[in-house]
Amino acid sequence: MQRPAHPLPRHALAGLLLTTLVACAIPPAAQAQAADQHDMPARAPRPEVVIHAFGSVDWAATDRRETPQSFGLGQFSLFVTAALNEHVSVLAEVVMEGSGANTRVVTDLERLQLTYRLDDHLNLSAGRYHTGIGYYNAAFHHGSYFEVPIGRPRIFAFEDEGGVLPVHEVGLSARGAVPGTDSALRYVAEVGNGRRWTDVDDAEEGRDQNAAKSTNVGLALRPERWRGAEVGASFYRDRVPIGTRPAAAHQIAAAYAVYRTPSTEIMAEWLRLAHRIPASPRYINRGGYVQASRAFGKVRPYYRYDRLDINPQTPFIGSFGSSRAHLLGVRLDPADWIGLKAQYERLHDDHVDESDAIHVQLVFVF
Amino acid sequence: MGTPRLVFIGLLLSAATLAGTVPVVAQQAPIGPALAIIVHRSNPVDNLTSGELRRIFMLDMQTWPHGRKITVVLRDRGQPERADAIRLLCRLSESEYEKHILFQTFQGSVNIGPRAIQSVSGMLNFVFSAPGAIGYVNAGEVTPAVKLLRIDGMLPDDPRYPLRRRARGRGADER
Repeated sequence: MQRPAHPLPRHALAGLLLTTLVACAIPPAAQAQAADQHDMPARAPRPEVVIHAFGSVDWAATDRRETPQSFGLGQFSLFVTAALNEHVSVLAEVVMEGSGANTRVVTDLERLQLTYRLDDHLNLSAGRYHTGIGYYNAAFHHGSYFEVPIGRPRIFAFEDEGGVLPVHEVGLSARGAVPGTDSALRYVAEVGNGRRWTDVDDAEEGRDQNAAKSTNVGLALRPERWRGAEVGASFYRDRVPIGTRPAAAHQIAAAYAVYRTPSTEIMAEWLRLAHRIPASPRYINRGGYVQASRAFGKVRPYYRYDRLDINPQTPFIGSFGSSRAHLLGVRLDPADWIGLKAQYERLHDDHVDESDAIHVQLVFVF
Repeated sequence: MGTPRLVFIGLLLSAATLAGTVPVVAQQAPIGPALAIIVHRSNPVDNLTSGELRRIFMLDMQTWPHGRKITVVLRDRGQPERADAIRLLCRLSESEYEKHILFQTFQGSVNIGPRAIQSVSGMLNFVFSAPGAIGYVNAGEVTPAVKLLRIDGMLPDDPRYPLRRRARGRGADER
């Protein structure tokens, strides 16, 4: 475990940033609360809490003999948000994953954010968040109700499901609309611990492995003229320790174009992951997806092409393997807040060569 | 021989209806009253563009230019005034709007969704009491207790005013 050479200044800086965020949040919020006693006539003095839960039940079958067709429980995502006052809010997402066989439940705190909202141009958050790498990761979280196909694109798979990205991070983030653009141009800037790529004991869980902080910046354009259209790009960088060797420089560039309306969804995203260790070659990996769907009333057919190219020599993610998948499916929304998806998947994978699978998923939110 | 065909045609029609390809309402609804957009009397904003109004009701824009948080007020779920307003302001069905708000909430962009108000008098009282509120009533229901906004520079008595409900009654679209 590599320790920071001079932890105090960096820690002091992080502490200062956090203190500034809290200091920014409290006085104006308190003032706003005092000044706005008439602003929310129907609001009780206690914070108003909104709770939602997302769940799913799955069935899957493949042509692999060693994998029998099976029912399964998906993630149960408990989502809570509350406005503490006009400027400050909290958000938490707790995910429970159960085994249908013995109802054993594993619980993960996936998101926990305290947000200070100055105005539409500046939102400051502290806590655990989904990184703003590309589009998909910040748009779709653990509740799978909003996703049209079953499952996330391979490039955006969660860390504990063989994902290659730092999907979650703990740190600070700022986002909002760029002034003077009529909210058409939006930005995100994040500073976090970065992803842990090596196993750690419980005592170290949650702390950074080194003093270097990950940073991510992104810009997105949503022209008012083309409602539902968004194009954007982001750039992430971090330094990842590798035992006693010099740290690896890790960079992720992402670009996307999305068109999402209630009836039509066209999404394309491409990411380039670079790893560089001093005195070693630079490893470049790529991944992305294209997906489209169109709703005809309550029925929505969809297609996704999903691709991930990983160089096996790449540190940390070399063993994760490359894959290509075609997903063809249909989603039916028989009632509000209930969705039924059925999907055929043809997968070319480094590990299993080629396979066909059928997935059915029932998703709901309440 | 006839029964399977009838069943097949029935299935086709059911699927087409489910998919929304069979038109249910073909009649053109007559024009109804204008939707007046109202805010608190202290609000310095006099005019909004249609785009700004849409962004406000979609909760993409959540603060007024003078910094106060915007509180969007709609009529209660299930009331025709709510569905009409959502269709006019956001060009969405009520169900699509609810999903949009939940999606925004899940993303962390929204904490508390729009307020829901039971009646016209409740709407007027809320907007009168809340400095950041924005709501709507029929043009004839506006009182001096609230401020009427221009939309794209026009008031509801202007024939070019963009927010007009469909008249209710026989043949009107009640979706």
